[in-house]
Amino acid sequence: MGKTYRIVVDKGICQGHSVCVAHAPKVFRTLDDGGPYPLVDLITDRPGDDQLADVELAAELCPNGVIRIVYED
Amino acid sequence: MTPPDVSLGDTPHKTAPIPYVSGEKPGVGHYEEFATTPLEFLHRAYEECGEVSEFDLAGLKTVLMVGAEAHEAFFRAPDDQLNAAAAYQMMVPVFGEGIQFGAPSEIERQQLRMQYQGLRYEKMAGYYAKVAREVKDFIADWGDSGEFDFYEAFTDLTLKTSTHCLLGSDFRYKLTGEFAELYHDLEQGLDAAAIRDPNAQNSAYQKRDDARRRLQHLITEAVRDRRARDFHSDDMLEIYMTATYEDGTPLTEHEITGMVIWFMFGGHHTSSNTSAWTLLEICRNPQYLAELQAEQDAVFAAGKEASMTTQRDIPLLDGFIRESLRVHPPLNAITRRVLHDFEYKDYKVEAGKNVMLCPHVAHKLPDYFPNPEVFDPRRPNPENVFALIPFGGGRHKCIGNAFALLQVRTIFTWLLHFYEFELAQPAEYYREVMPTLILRPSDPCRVKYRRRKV
Repeated sequence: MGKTYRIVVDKGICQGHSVCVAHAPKVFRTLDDGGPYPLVDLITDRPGDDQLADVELAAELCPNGVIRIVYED
Repeated sequence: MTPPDVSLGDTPHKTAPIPYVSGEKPGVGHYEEFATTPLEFLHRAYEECGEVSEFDLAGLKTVLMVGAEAHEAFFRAPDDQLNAAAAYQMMVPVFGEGIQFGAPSEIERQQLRMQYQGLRYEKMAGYYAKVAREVKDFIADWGDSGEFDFYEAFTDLTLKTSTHCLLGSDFRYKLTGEFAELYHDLEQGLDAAAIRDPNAQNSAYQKRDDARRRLQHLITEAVRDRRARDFHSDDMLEIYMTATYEDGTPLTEHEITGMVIWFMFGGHHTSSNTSAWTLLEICRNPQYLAELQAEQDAVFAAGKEASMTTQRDIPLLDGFIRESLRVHPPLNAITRRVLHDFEYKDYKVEAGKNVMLCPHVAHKLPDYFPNPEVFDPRRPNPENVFALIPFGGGRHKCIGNAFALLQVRTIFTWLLHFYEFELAQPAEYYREVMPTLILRPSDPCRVKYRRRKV
């Protein structure tokens, strides 16, 4: 069995660049609440093992460091 | 018998006085020192007073906050408490009335949405090809070896790359030296005195206003030409020409010009200076050269030289750029006006004062950056995202940050693939200077180049 993990996003520092949506579209989307930019929204905060590589890439490439992955034993 | 506990209700919050920087002069406070040697002054403020310090810029009381924790409090404060617009009024004559901080916050929000349209991730792929083409043309007549002024060269190159992505090929190839001169005149209107009164009567501000008018003329011609030909393109100008406010009103020609200048100001000199510092650091750290070249050669071998690369493709180059931004951040006075008293730890900053962050000071804190004076392109990013703030942070963080990194990466992938560089003067001749609000290397910025045998 692979690692279990959950995702935490900090909407307070998101500016909607949507890098995460491009790399892990099953996990991330953006929602437009009428602010200056749409903000990240999690489709699920506990995606399966098969999404981990994409989520890690999204977290690494996010220009604002919005995404944190919490690995659980 | 113990007295009844009376501390459950509200007790007045005890605030500590904010440490005050020494050396103020009657009438002007610390203004002269700040205006002539801003970085030295801000470093001194931190060394003397620590995390929070206060000084006086000719009547404008300013509080410098240093460190990730302080930055986070600053960036997370709501706009009606720590206000950017009130602190950046010197930008209003440059961009124009009714644009960004010259507009009500409701309008500014809608304009920012328009800027954002051109900076989304899916738009980036098209920009790589344009930047790559510019760099290819830039080195086309370099020959086998030579020497050049890299500050001027990067100013010229990033003007072309930014204009190409922003205003399209049609405008870019009509670009003349006049355009660069107009931007130069606009920038000269941004000195320390503009923070106090951007509308004072002097020749620099007069030239700034003349340049703004002339730019509006040139950009309006381009807009009218596109409309007459029913020409559409995948660039920012197209976005400005078709965007509407929420009530359906399109941007006026005055506003389109302002949006262009706003975008260019955000992206041009910051990117050109980052390129200049990156080249300097590549020359100063030759021990990484072979690996840097191998990394860029692999990009070319994979046929990705004009398409999207990420820090996974070019980790060492990416590290050089990020470390250059840490050591030599372009913008060093991130400021807000306090509209309602702002509390941080035991301190209270009263309404009417400014609060300021200084990346140059913050990026040298050993708690976040061990051996901060060492240039280390493999330095990991600090855990706390508020420690490293070359693009600011929070709601007003530079939304062009991904675009900026894209430009600088593409420039160096090409340069390092084809050429090797060497300083033309001893390394200590290249100093940090800040004649306007942007940190740059001192003149003369000479570097020698030699074509690689690949």
